[in-house]
Amino acid sequence: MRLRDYIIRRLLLLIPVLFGVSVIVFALTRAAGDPASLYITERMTDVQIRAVYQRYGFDQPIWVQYVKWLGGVVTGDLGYSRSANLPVSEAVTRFFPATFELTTVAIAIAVIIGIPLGVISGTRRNKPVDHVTRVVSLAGVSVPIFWLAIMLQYLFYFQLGWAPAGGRFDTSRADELYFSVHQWTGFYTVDSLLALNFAAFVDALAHIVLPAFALSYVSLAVIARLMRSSMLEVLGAEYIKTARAKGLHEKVVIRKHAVRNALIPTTTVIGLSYGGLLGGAVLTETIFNWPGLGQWSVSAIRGLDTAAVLGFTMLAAIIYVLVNLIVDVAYAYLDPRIRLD
Amino acid sequence: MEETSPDQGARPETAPSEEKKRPWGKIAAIVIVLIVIIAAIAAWRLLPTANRAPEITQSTASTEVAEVGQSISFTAQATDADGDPLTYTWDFGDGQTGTGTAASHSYGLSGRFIALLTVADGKGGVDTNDVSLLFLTVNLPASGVAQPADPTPAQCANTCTFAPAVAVLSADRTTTQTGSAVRFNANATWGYVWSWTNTSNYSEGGSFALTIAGDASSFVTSFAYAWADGTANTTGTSRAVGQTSHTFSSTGNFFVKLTAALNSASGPISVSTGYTVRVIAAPPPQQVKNPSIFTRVTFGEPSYVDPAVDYETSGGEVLQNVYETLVWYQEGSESVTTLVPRLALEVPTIANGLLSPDGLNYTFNLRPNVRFHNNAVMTAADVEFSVERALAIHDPDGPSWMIEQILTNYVSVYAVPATSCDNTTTPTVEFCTVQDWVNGEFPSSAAVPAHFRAVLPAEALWPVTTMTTSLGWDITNTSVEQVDNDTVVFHLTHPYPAFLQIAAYTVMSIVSKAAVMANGGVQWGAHNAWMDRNTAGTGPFKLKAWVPNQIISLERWDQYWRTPAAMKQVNILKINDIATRELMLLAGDADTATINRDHQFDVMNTDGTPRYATLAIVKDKPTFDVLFFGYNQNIRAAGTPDPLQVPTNFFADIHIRKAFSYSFDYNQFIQNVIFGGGEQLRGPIPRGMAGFNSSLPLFSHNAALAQTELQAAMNPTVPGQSYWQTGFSITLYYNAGNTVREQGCLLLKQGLEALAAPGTISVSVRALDWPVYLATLRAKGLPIFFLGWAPDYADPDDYAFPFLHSRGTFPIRVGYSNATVDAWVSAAASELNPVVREQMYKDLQGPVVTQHVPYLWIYQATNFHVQRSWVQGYYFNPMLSEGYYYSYTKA
Repeated sequence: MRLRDYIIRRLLLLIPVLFGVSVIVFALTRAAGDPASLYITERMTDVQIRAVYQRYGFDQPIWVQYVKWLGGVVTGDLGYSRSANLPVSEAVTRFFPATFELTTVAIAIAVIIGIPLGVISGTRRNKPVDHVTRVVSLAGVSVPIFWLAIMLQYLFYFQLGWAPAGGRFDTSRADELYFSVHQWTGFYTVDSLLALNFAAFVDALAHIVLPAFALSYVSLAVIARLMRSSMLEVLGAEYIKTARAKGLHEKVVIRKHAVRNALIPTTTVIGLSYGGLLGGAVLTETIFNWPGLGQWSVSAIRGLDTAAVLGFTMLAAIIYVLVNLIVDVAYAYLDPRIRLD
Repeated sequence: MEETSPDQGARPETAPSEEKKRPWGKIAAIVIVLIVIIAAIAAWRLLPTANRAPEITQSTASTEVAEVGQSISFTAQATDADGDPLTYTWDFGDGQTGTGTAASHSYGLSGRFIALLTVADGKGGVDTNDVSLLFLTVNLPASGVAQPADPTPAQCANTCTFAPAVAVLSADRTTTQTGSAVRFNANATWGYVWSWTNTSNYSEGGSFALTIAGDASSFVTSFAYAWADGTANTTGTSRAVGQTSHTFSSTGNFFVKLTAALNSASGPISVSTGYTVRVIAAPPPQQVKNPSIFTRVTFGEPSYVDPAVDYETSGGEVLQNVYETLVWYQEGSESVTTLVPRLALEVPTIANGLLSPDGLNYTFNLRPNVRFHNNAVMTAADVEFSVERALAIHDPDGPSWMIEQILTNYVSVYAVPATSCDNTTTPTVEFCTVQDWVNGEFPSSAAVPAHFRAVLPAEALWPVTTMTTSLGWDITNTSVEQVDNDTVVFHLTHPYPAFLQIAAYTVMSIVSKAAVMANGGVQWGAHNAWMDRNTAGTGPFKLKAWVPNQIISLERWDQYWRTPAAMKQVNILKINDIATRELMLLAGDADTATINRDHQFDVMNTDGTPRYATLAIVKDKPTFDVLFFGYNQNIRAAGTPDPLQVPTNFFADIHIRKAFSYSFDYNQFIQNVIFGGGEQLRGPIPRGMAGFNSSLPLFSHNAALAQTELQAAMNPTVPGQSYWQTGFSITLYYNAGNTVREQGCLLLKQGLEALAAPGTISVSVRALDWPVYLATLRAKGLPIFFLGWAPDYADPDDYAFPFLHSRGTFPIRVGYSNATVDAWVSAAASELNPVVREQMYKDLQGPVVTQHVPYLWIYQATNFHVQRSWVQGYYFNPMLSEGYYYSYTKA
């Protein structure tokens, strides 16, 4: 009951957040320049230019344009993205699942590898495993992601031929792998399984591995480092001593007592990383040609594509609020002492 | 301390079992071992083999041209990374060999030879000088080919023959690969036949003519080629084997010896010459990836795929393959001046009666049995519908103005919804009546053609008749007339021969009326959302799918009216990252990739050859994209981004404009800023377009001439002093992020500031954001600015009018106005005789370029196309957007 109220209250808070974000973004994009300059060129005649202003309503006061846009949002029309050449709502539904899928796999890799690495490292401090983990995680936070991505691509695609160059499916077999698969979720791995098309599933998996790994590496390193230090801290805590004093099996001590408590700060970081990555991973998406929000947002911002910028900043705001909400709820699960109110 | 001791004591008990069961250590170990294995495999694949081959650093010959018997010295240098002792072997290309780092050789016969150097380290490591082969031309000594002495009448009455014999051998290549045929061309002569014009007294003859033998076999009885590769000689009469080809099946440096048997005045003689052919191993046949799918990787994506509204090259690429026009450019040709029928059966001309003598009515007879991709057969109704539809949509950001200017005189600009047509409130449209349209777009009311009058009220009512959207649409619908099922007539509002070029542009693509009507129909002033993303054409390919930001997939149309295309599928992938595009091209996953000039040396050697044998490059063909500076002759001081420090009419002085034009380093710009991707522009009409004038003088970077001009430019604010004495300060602007324009501004700054004593002339360069740049430009606030222009249709009027006519886009911006030039431009635009018309365009540019100098013409871009060498059928045409895939094959 209490949790439900809390969630509803947090969700209601989204409305003023979104309103604020939209006003700021609208004002900022307009301040960056005349939006009509996207549609007109040096060579257009005055008659053509006037027609452009009228067609897109740029001749009207800015607040009128904002109200018109807001009216559209209420009726489900988020405007037209010139950089994507699609209505914003359609662009979001096309590009967001790609980013969501990539990010989810990346975070999954980061969590599945990062947390055990941190735990091992923390429990076997100054052992060889710990040193290796620390080097791996130091590399993760120091290596620029675009460099890692390019190196992975060069090695595994170009030199070894083990992985595709990029994209989400093998375009030379598009009929079999893409066009015949109904896009229920926009997650190609999931859709191909739903369609029982295993060739498409393997292909989707092959395409996601390199970009997901490249994207996960930073988070993996951060998670491993944080988990290691949390573990070190927790293992020195009184209740661990108590647990050991009670004669509990060391495995139980680590899993039930130490890891669970060490996870609390890590959960925050995982949540924030996830939320951040969901906004689009520009470099990874560009190098691996992953058609997600990152690529779109860059071209939209560079192109003064107001409708698109508004669309995905609001989406990013929603994602952040939701991810933080999930993190908060997860806290309550991990640490019963935390009260949501 | 006491509290911890039990804990410490408890640990050893649990530790042993912990060691056995703890899985994390094992997992981590496995992961690390895997990573090490992968890294090791990768390293093994990338590392070189043990013995390193020697490397030839230099191979030279003392001369490239020598005489028979002349000694030539050859020198060689090589290094070996392992320090192995090296042996040097020379193959001089005439069957003779030599050894050592210094060798000498004299050739015993004339010809063209290749000296091949081979350096070996004795361990199997070998290098040859194939990257810098030594080519030697060996001539007969001067005495051997002396001119014959003039014959005297005493020696022969009419004709005489003299001179020694010479044999000549040439081939279409000097280096080749095993299995490739080399074509040889042999010739021989044994003298000259002089024929005097005055046989009675040769000294008064004054001239003599060379007569050609009636039958070559009477001079040369036979040719014999010795191939030196173990195959039999090729022999025969001069007619039979004067031209022959030979295929070398093994590698080597082959000395081909030609021996010609001749009948000379002094009896049969024989003469020889040599020719070396270097044959290297052919690479193993390429494994063509996906032979029936053509893949192009690029960074662009269409705005729309509706020909009525799309106005950019990414969309153009799709449209030119999916849709077809009535007339088009000759396939396989670079020329844009010759149009050939496509969906029409003939190109209308006055001669064939399909163009009315007044130049106003174009009749097209349609090709029968052409099927749209929905299987409907194309009729005249589709043609009328397609063009009137584009007129009705009239996207101001699209290409429809091309047909509006000639078919409806822009009625769409006036036919706006009633709410917009209100003079009393804010909206800016002030023309509301039929009369407003007539006044704005026709020279006089009398010029309104009859087919418009048919749907308009009586002329007296025009001032009070509102130009409603429905009236505008009615007028539009009279512009194209369906005569019968296979015939359609276009009614122009004034003669405009460039109409045929417009008809070749994608805006006049023929779409299926049935398909459009079934998917939303036509609305005045609005896109058809279905057509924006789907197609309904007749072209060799149909749009199979467009997955935004990923792929556009075209599929072969098997019911095409010609033989269906060879490629089953064409995939255009959007890959934003240049490195990814390059890797895909090199790996063969892409057949062609968009690679800009700033990355050209990733795929090309500095001599222009491909860096990889798997690639082919087509480059330096002139496109129609031009770049230039505009001199604003009437600067609006209130609109400048920085305080204006020169008079507003600074550039009205021709001497200033000329001084600027002489101060720009054109060559440096082309070489270093655009990486050789262009050639200097001569005037408004670029090379390749009808009306291009190659005899127009080019401005050069010439400080002396610039100074002279500047000395003649008087500074109005300092009486009696020129700008060369007073100097001036000016700011050059470019749009932020455009490095080409930034570099161009800096070059001009450099050239100008060097003209006078340091500090006299001060030039600043400043970036403006694109919206600000554009707004300031339109407000005439930029003193001098970059402008670019790309073609709409391949007609000189698309350059002459916007550049030179005082109502054109750019003269309005720069304040250039010349009534004489206006008259020339208008007259040329409507001239119906193509020969006269072309000459008019050539002529009218002369005074503009040499005397008026309204612009600083910088360059005309050239193309750069790179593809896999297994692709056949690519051709460059400046009006095509990348490939016309119908002609493509992969093998």
